Amino acid sequence: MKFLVGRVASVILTLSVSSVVVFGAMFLAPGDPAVFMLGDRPVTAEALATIRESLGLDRPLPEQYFDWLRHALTGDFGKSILSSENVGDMIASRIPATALLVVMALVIILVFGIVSGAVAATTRSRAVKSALGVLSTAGSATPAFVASILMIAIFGVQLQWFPTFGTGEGFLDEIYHMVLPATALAISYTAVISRVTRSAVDLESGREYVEVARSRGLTRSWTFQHHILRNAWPPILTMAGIVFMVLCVVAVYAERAFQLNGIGFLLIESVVRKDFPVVQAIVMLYVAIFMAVNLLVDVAHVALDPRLRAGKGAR
Amino acid sequence: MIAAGTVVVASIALVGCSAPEDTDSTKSPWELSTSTPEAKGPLDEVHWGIQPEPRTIDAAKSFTYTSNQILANVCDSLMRQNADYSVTPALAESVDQVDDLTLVYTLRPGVLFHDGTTMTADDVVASLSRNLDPASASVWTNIYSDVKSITATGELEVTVKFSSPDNSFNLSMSTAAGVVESAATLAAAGADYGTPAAGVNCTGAYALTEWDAGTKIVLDRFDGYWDKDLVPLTKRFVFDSFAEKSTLVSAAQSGQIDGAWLLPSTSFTQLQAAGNLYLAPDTSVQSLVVANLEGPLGDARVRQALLMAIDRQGIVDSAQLGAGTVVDSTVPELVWDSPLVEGYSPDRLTHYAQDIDAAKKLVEDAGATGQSITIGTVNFDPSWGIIAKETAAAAERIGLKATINTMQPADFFALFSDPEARKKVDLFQTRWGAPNGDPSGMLDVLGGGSTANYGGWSNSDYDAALAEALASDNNKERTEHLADAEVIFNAELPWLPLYSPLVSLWMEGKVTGATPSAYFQWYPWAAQIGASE
Repeated sequence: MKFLVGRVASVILTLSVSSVVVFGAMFLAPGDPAVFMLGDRPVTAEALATIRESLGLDRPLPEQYFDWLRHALTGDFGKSILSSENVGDMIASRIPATALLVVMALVIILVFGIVSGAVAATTRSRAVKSALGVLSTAGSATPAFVASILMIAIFGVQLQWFPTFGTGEGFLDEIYHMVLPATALAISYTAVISRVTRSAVDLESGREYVEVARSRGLTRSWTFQHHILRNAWPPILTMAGIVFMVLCVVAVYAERAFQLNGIGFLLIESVVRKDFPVVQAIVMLYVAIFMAVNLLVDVAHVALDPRLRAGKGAR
Repeated sequence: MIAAGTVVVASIALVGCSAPEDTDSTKSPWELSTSTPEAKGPLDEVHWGIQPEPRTIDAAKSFTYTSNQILANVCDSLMRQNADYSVTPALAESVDQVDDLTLVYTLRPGVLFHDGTTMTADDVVASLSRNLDPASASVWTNIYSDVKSITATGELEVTVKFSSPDNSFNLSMSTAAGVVESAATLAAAGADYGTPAAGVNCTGAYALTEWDAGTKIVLDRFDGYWDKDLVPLTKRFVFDSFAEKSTLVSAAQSGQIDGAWLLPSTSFTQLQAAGNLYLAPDTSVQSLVVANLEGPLGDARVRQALLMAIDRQGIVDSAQLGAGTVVDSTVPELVWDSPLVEGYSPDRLTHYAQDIDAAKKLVEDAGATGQSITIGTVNFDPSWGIIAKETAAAAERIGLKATINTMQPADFFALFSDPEARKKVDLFQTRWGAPNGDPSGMLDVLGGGSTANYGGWSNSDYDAALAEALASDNNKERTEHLADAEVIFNAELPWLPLYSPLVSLWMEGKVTGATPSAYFQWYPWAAQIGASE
């Protein structure tokens, strides 16, 4: 109970602090949404002043902030300065693309990362070991924006197997459109998970209990499945949580390269355009997601490791 | 109708080019076209790539190539600019010049808006009057600067009164400045008019059916269209939005879009392989605006010296892969073919061939050696960086010190609307063309009261020549006055003209019909697009 109250209080505190920070940063940074709205168009100073006034940008900062806060608390995140769209609707319409992208990338990362890491740690073939080592080094050195260019050039333009832009219509078409972006995003993190898995498995394999188990005549595969893997989970899980959060952020590289109308894309565009209501709402959403993921990882650790549950009371 | 077939022009002539180092520069590596094959059949759906997506297609705020190319198909203007830059009546059936200060537009009867209501004089008055109201922040205030009143003088008659004569106004009514929108929709939508949230209500060949911001803008053929000669061949026209030109190009190469305007010259070769690429001279010029006349560039000799030091042909070759022509005026020769021009000759212009020694001498004479300038730029595309770097290098070559300030888009845009922001730079880049296809449309940008006269340059002879041109009822005289103004510009260089780029139009093989011309900003070109077989 105490744990839960503490957690909720910290969520509220983090959200309010970050809302003030983001608000302040947006206004301290140079540039003016009214100017961006005009673009490279020549207008009179009078017209500029009229626009600032109509957007409420001429009011004092605290007034603008509390006005925003009052509406946000009732679930109204306002209207985009630039497109006049409702911010809630804008974000809702962009969540599916980013969610599908991140989930598909995460599935690719976990499946290929964990399997290749476990194989690399347990295989007796030197060739396989070193091949996987080379692959994971190359993979981790291939950031998403480089991988995107390669994917588009090879599988989009040359072979024309997959579309190079857009999200598609209908579930299967959406998955199909997301294959290249998710793979581009997944490559470097698959390598990370693979390495973490390999070293976790290596570490556990060298422990005394494994030797004891083996000396008692248990098979390699039994020991691996029931002892080594189980004990190797915590670092992999922690890393998977971190990778998920990083994916939410770096998704923008794939969104930009493949013109996917996602949250990251919207955030970057809105920051550049100083579209404050949109930036504020997306940052709040990210903070909330990150805190939820942290909580989930912690809970999963406890579920996986009985010692943590026992230890809680003892300490 | 447009002519079928492609006319090949072997080279683009450079304006009086004589520099010894430019020996090979009169040859453009690209073939020019004046048309594309006429469409032979209907199509259900065409996907057209745009970059970047516009934020609004409100005519009063439509100032980008992308907003205008969409708007032109959705909204008609009083007049229409054709592919050859001639201007013919559109929503106005006729126009009468009653006297120097009065124009009377007689409107076409029975024209329907997309919501089914009928256009009246009140809609025209409401649309045009927005350009007089500071609250609508219109970009067309220059065009309306001599307008005193716009009134409905009949059910289908609108009278425009001027405070001083302006014979270019009617030509400008062929641009977004002359678009007619439903008065009722304007009133109902308010400030949201033209945005993805509210859309527009016009009379064009296509109606806006869906705007999924960041993804696509969908137009459907408007069955009630008044112009039976321009009934669209394609039922649905989808503009797919791209944040980056490179993504657009790969979508074209992999057959996911059917066409696009204004492609990067670095991908011309790939695009030729993926379909048909058509190139034509443009009405615009890439220039450096002199923003600060208090600094070293306040002296005309230093401006001339800088232009003489910049390797402009080198910029065209490296930044545009040769797709452009070095110019010494902001009015390219193409624009001197306007219907109101008669007897123009470019011979009076000074060509600023690259000559470092002479340039150095000019800077010394002006006592500016060792002084510093700041060049404002932004990473819109690689060519902007190349221009900034070459300009800085040129300044250094003639004894000036130069800094490049690469700005965030929001800061860069501020240069266009905020005089305070302009104090931070001496020069910044812009690509600007005469919207109405007439030299006056470009020359009046540097007139006394113009909002786009960013450096605040003023020259009474220039203003006088311009005013006389706009008041003249004889095209030959008018042309002489405009040419006088151009000569003053060419000597004073309040902007440093670099080159005129090419208009590019790419279509994949199955699609054809539009003409490579800057008319795509104002003419319902999508209505001409159809199947090639």
